[in-house]
Amino acid sequence: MTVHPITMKPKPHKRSYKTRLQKPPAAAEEEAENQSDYAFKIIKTAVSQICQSVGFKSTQHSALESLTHITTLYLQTLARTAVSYSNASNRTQSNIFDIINSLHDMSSVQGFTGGSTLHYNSSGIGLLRSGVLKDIKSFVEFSDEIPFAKPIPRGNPISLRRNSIPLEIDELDSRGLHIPRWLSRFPDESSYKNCGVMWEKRREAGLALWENSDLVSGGNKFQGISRENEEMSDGGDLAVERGKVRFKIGEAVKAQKEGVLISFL
Amino acid sequence: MKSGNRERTMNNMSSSNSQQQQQSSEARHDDDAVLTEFLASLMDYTPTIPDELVEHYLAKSGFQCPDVRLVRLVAVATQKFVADVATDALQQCKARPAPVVKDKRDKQQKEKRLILTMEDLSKALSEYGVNMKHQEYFADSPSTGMDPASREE
Repeated sequence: MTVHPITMKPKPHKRSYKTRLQKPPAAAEEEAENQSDYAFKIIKTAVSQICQSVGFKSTQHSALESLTHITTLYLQTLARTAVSYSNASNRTQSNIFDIINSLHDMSSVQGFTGGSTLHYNSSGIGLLRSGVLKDIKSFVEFSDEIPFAKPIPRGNPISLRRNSIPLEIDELDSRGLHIPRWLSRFPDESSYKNCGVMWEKRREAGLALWENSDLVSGGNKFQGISRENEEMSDGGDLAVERGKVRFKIGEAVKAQKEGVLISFL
Repeated sequence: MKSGNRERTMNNMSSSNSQQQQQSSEARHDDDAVLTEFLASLMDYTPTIPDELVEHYLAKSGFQCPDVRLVRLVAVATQKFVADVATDALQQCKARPAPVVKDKRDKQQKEKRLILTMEDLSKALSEYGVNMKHQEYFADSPSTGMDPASREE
């Protein structure tokens, strides 16, 4: 494996003339709009750094995009397989053996040293002696360390609070301590404080059967409901008799020209 | 069932020979030490794929582990994968016959030749079980892709 030491630039994906010249396709731009755009950009930079360290001078835009996408999928599949291994052994936290097992799964397409004798030992010795792990170990030992070009701010406060109303400090003090701080604030008081009044009025008028309620029979027996509602809820019938309307489907232009409405057969 | 039998025979064999068992436990101890050393070395190693990103994807997949070394291990494994694929693609790129260039800037041309292309990448990825193909392209009429001037209207 050839690894060339390189000097880092702040934006390595811009170094290639080809990437700069080629306009990204519309689909790629659309994809860049979505939520994981930030993560995708970061991993793209990392992948291009790795490609540069391997010896590539420039890249096609589509190729880099594909490799980035596959890298993401690799990472996610690795994690998911490890999680399923840990879940299969009744754990929620994953450990090194889960990762080694999932690495074996991932590299079983290519094959690896010691893959045929992997399941001979039940005590986990096979996992510790894993050829894949040895490969990774030698990779760490013999390849140059290329740190990511830029530091990444940890944490993402924007995504956490995106859907909630920002809390004021005095609101935090005013509401009870039993409510966790991370919960959003209460809705407007008018939406829940006065909603009991209407029900009380209903109760004053006495309990009524559902069949006799204004929703079904159309009569307004309760004082709490205004006149506007009375007009609107008159049994579901139309207030005014209306003439018949006929619709013709298709040949609309022709019908309009003739000025005649022909009923649909 | 078969593997269970095999295990049992393996266990019988090892228990019949205590010396061998001792050896294997010693070997296991060695492997343990090697692994611990390797994981400790990961603490000093900075992978190209940043920890934050790996943690993000791990959390997205439901991976829970407080150990930073394991996050690093995943990062290093992914980095190795990318590097392997890229190396293979580079070999494909180099193996392709060079276009004949009669120019004094020959060296520069050779430098420019090292471009990561879809062709090389898909060849390299096919060895890793990834089947990458160009998207099929359909047009509503044969004249769609042609030059607008030559199109009949």
